[in-house]
Amino acid sequence: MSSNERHVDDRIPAYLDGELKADEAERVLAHCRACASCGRVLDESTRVMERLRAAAAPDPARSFWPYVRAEIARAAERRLGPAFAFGATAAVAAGIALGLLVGTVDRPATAISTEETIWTTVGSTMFGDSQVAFGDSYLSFSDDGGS
Amino acid sequence: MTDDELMTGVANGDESALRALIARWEGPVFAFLERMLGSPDDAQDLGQETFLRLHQHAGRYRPSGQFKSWLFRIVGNLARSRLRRRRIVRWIPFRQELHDRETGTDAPSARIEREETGEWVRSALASLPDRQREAMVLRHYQDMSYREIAATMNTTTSAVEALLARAMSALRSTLGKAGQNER
Repeated sequence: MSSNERHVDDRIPAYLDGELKADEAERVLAHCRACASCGRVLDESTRVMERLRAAAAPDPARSFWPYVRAEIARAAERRLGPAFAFGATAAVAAGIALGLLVGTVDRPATAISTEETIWTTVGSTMFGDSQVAFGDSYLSFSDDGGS
Repeated sequence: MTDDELMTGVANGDESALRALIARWEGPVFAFLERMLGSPDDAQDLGQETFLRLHQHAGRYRPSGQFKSWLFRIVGNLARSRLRRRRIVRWIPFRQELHDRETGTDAPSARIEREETGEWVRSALASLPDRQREAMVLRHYQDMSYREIAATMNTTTSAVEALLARAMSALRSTLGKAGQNER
């Protein structure tokens, strides 16, 4: 090896990982053939990689799914708990009361749209807000054992 | 279905999409965490947490074919955070008995060889600084390219190459010591 030529030990992992362009890879390999020090690094690095790959990847003791499903359900329950139940009941009661009130009035044709508006408002209070409350955790979960 | 399609499903509240993603990725996520943390219990714990976060942030994911990097960014953040928290406790020793359950039918010599290799890998990886270990595990156990590792670790490909070169240098010296001990 020429004394001016730079050692390539820091490029050897990239060479072994196939991350170098063809001409660069050739240069590294040629250098390693000529330079005892870099040649040794190449051999040792190859052995390290073989050892790393020989160790089997461990597997989880149990699937993540049942836990994840239960936690998401719990989180949704927490968010929708007593406050949601109370709000929904109040909205239904208010809706019924308003419906009865509107029903007892001899109303002109335009009142229909008022009634629709009222029911839409009640509906969006119950369901629109509940969707907001669900936020990004509104998955529905079936109870099928989960494994 | 692709990962991106499944993520769209998760964002739209599709339970089966989340379940399919977990089935597809729980093995690699667990393996990464076990190599990073050296503890199957912590790997199980943080693996589950990973998919809770995935579900939580699914709406923010932009399908671009980069799911693996996105997922392992979550996993890497969780692993680094756990490592920081337990810094004073140091490395949790690997519990061999948890890994012996599946190897009962092996020939003794093959088992011993595998255990020795496994033990060397665990202690060698444990000896590396966190970022070098993360780059090494992503490369060798997740089969990521330098570009994918860079995207996952929020750095450049040349920084990844430098991290891996330093890690390799440290592992070569570990291998040298192991060789001397075996003789």
